[in-house]
Amino acid sequence: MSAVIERVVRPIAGLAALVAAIAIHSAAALAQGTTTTGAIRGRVADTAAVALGSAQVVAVNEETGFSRGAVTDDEGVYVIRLLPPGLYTVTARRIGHQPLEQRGIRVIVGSTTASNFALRTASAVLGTVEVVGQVDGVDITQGGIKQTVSEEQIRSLPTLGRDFTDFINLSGLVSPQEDITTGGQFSIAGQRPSQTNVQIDGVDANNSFFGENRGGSRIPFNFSLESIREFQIITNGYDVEYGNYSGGVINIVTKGGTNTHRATVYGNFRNEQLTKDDFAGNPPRDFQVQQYAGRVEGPIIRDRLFYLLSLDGQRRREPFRSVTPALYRADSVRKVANDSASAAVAFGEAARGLERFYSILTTQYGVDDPASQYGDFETTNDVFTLFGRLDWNASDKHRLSLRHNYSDYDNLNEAGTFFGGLTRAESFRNRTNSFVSELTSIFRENVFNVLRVQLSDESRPRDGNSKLPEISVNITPNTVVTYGGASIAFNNYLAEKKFQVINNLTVDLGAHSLKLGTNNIFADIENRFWNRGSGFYSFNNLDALEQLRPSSYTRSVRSDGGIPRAAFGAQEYSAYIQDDWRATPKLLASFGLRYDVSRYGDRPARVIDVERAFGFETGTAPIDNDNISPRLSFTYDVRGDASEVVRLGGALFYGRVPYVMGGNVAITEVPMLDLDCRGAAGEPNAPPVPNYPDWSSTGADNPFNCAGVGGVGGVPTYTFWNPEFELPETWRANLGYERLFGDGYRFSADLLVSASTKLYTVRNLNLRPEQFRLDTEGNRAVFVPRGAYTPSTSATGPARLRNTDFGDLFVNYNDGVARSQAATFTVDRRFAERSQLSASYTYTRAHDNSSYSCCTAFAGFENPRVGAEGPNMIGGAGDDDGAWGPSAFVRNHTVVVTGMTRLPWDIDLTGIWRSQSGTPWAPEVNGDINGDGIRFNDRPYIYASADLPVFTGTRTGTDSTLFVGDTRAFYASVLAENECIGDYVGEILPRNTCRQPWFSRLDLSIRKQVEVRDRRAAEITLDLFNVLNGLDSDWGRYESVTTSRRNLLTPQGYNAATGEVLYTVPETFGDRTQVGFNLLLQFSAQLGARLYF
Amino acid sequence: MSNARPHPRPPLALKKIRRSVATVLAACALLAASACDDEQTPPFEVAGSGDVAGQLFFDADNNGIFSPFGGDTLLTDVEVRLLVRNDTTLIASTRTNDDGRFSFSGVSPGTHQLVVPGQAGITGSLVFCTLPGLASVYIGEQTYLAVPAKRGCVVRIAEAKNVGLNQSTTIAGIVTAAQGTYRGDNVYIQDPTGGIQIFGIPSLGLQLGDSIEVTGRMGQFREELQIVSPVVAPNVVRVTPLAPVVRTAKQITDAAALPGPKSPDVGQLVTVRRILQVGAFASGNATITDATGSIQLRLDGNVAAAIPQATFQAGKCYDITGILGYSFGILQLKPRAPSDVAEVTCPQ
Repeated sequence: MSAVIERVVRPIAGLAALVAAIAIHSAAALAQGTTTTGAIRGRVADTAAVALGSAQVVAVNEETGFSRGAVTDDEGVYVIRLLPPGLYTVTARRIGHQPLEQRGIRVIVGSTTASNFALRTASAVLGTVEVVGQVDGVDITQGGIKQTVSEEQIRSLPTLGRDFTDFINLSGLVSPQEDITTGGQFSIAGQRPSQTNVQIDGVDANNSFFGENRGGSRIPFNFSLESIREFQIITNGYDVEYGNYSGGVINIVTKGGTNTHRATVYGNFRNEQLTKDDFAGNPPRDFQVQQYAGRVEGPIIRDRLFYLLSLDGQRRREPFRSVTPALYRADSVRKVANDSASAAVAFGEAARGLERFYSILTTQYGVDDPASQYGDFETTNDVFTLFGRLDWNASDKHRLSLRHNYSDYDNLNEAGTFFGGLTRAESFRNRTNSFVSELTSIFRENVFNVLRVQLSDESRPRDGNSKLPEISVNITPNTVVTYGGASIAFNNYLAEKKFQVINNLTVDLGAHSLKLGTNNIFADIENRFWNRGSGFYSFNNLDALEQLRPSSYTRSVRSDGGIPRAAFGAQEYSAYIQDDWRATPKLLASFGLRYDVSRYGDRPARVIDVERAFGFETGTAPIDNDNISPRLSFTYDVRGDASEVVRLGGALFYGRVPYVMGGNVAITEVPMLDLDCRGAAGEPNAPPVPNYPDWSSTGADNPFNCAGVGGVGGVPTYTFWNPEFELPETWRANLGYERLFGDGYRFSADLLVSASTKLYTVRNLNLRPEQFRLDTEGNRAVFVPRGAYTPSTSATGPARLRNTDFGDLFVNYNDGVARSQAATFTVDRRFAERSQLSASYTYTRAHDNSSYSCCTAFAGFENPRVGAEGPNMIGGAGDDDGAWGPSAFVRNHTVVVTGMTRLPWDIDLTGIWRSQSGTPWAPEVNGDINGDGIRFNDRPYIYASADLPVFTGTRTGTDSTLFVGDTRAFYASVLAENECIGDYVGEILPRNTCRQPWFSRLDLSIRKQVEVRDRRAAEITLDLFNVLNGLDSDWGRYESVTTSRRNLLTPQGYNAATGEVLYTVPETFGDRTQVGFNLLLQFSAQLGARLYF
Repeated sequence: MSNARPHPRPPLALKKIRRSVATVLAACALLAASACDDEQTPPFEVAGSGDVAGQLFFDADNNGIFSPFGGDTLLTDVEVRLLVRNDTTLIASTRTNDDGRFSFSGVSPGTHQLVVPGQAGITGSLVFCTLPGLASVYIGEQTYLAVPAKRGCVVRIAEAKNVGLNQSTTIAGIVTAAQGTYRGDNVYIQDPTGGIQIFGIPSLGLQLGDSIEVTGRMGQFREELQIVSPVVAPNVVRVTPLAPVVRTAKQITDAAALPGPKSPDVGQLVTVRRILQVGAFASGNATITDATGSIQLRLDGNVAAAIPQATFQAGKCYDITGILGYSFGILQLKPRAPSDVAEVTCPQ
């Protein structure tokens, strides 16, 4: 190896082991501060440590010239508040002492930075002494837990597709979903993702409808990364400004212009040639991702008025493959080569059937060139964001910031299916606007005020490529292809508009600092979600398709024939007060009280029939106005120099309930009916005769009725609020210790506990009382009578509903409970300039009785994997017989290592290593064991293998996964190989006993910057993602046990004489398969370039 | 096969950390002790009860309600049971009083099942077509069920064609050939599954478009199935007359190839278009031929006088509508009136 190569390789190898890093300021906790500014606090003393009162301390922002000052009290303590984040020069002056200046004091949003002075007595020399590059101290004012990702980290760490999720995941307390690689929802400490509150610049940045970040889960970013100064993951924020969360807060802080004119442009590229085969060994097909960004900033009036304008965009094209005759014929050829003649015949038959399908679509359904709707087509995933900000230092007392963020997202031809082609795909769009103004004022020397106002809107049209009813036809006995059918994307539209006003007034009263504030959000929601709105035709075969003879037509229709629409308002009001009391120079105590009021929509119309039938009060919408949350935290600066801090806090928080819960109520105010048309032509319930050539492409003519019935049939379904519904409540507490030691080391340890109650759940008011119990299966309650008990299929409405005049009557309930405990340890060290390492380990336990986070009422009802007592009885904390178990979001172990080092030739190398244990999952029964109408939500009873009641009759269906042979022996092997079930023989399996596999990932970024002239520079970057997978295909694999492989037992029948359910055993239980196929998971490289002007 | 484990085995170091952390966490949990007051919430309890009441009667006038002036009679001392729905579990049992009434009080809210057991021995040949019936109970309310007994429960015509000869059956349909069209004592009726002749009807003056319910025995004349000894329920409703279905000669013969007189087309109102040739008549029958094949035209009964044979001329083409009859294996199109025969331009 040449010396040159060795010089390069050796550091890389070392880095791969250690992983280079950038320190994360996990230490700190929340400042009493605000969500857009920070503070500097310190003590001025003489060289003998005698406090110096009446000293003047001034902090000047090194980039903008913004300055603010304070005077020390009798104990020499000063606090300078409301400082925009950045680097400051702090100068302390006092008559009779030599002034001292400290440069490079970093102010972080929401934190208080320590800056202490020891002034020498003035003698002959009165010049100012400068101290540069002070090491960041420990935040000495925060009792909670916060992790900050700095601008430097954002710029230098590898991020695949500039996805801000990559930065959020730097916190070990964040649990990313393994199959979701873009933003959206973040579980913090195992809590429901919807309980995470996302905000930008201290104002709401949520899509409150779904309980996710504005822009949703498909978009990689909806704000320009170029405009971001830092991310903060706030797990326990005791400041009374923080509310409406029970999981955590993600605060994103933007930056403004400075006194320096700057500009930068950036671009990156990735395609199939830079991407490895997926985990199944399939090479990626043609795709391209290009991203671009730019930023320009500078002063309009030096030291007074600044601007910053940035944009970020993505153009992404990915192929999607759907069925064609040629694909079948290719398979046919392959099967012949493999001597599987029968399979070849079947593929040939399918190819011919597909061609006839196309022909019939043309002749009978008026479709031009249907073949063009199948085969390979391209999906788009394009984002454009634009951000602008003005900062005006209007006077020494007033500072005004105005900013606007716009994003435009097109996700076209998404969600297609292999057998449905392009017409089954949909176009998802997202547009957001957010305008924020912030006025920071100093009314008097000790009175400060921050006023923020936000106006935001978000719209999400989601349209199927074809809005005509889906055609589903068997082209061979075992092959079903489809055409059209928007299903949930049938003129789907969501709009969320918000107006928010926040005001915080802070008054310094010596040892006390009093904060009074209010935060109010007024939201208007419009949702046109028409589940199964397009209608669905099924044809038994191609002859029936040709003769326009469907076997069925189903559709969910509104009882008045109208379009389902929910339009309502939601309001959140809060008022709060907090006292930060410096009890001693080392001990800071913070006491707060916050009062929250939440109101969800207008009261829906009463449903008198339901009140008559059930005695249940309808027509209610929650107004929760008795929420008073106390906050208490302490920090103890052990040495008085911000080098060792103990922090402790505890508080009550009220979370937010996704507005979709109100939407589910509003959209059934006029009830929905299930239209189910079957039968021969001429029968009253026969399907309507399809007439595609004459029907409008908008879906306006899609039938509302069966062929022979004048009105809409079916029984009404509703969703109601429980009259006693209240917001989730979470008690949180933490104990932390942080210390600087040695040569640049920082260590922190934090312990967290939380206990949540009143988490939202969904019940079914119309589920029958239990009818009998299966005493052979853990005394499991069954909700249909023995005479109607067919555990192999879902119980029908007439069998399982209490009153058959109604369908499902869902009720937004709130008996969800959760517990979470976590411990996180962080060590970081700066070795030298541009060489840092940070490592954290987080252990998290989280349990709940329902991991429902969003969205439909049905999803809420079916979410808890139920035991003996059924879906309406999920039990409380610790009730394993109910639905108590590990949270579906928790990862018990997370190790995150980040680092940075400088290689020869000034090449910078950064990296992120994340290793995490898998999330819990629950084995299920592939049937409806308890007759609640839902398959796959019942936890199995674990028989001893010798006792398993084995089905020996003729199996229904064509499930090829069933084991054929000695079923009990095979079942015994399943028990032996899977401790997560084998340890529970003789009982109904507790919830979520199994775990997904661990996952480890290493991402690296290599960059080289070349100075050109006059501050101009060029930078080339090479980002490497999932490097382990690049080294060996067996490493870095994203795998999971998918839903279909969680079926432990398949009920085939019921022996009423013995009371036993008879089972077969699927062969695929617990098998792990590749997660996703979205080209973001396997090893890939990304080339980028940036120019600085 | 899988390796799903309850707790994936972490490295030893992690185990130690975990153990010590768990200890600390247990202490920390005390901090949140005040929140550990969860109580298991009971499922919805639907409190209260309601009543189920009703009346059993013979519904002579077939209107579904007890109307003594329509000839309805009360059914007294008949046992009535309320069962758990979809089950045989008895909730309560009672007998009808002298007014034919029954009632159950204090019934839990929900939908239950009402049955009259052993009804054949008590009510003779009458049947309760609405039983087992569903009774949805609302809180504090009485759910009332009028339970009419009838001579038979309506089945589809296609289903009726499969009952044995001389077996009683009840069908409902719309008149497609009125009384007096062919004979004074027969009509044809049709439902979505087919049509059939009703023979031996008293003089009721049934017209095209009358919706009727008929109970009678299944009979046969020249192999064509028909309802004989009919009793027509009195609640005749006039609706829109049915339009004929369009068939070719071949479609008619193909459809009847195996089921013969049970073909869905037999007894239905049918139009055969573009008949190219009407053969010579013999005994009121003539062969008619369209482009696909041939069947027989029959000028039946009164129609023979209404539609002279001379109506049909050689070299001309016709669209002919009529009831499709069946006579010893021969499919016969039986027009009902001159308006059923329309001369059309012959195809080139």
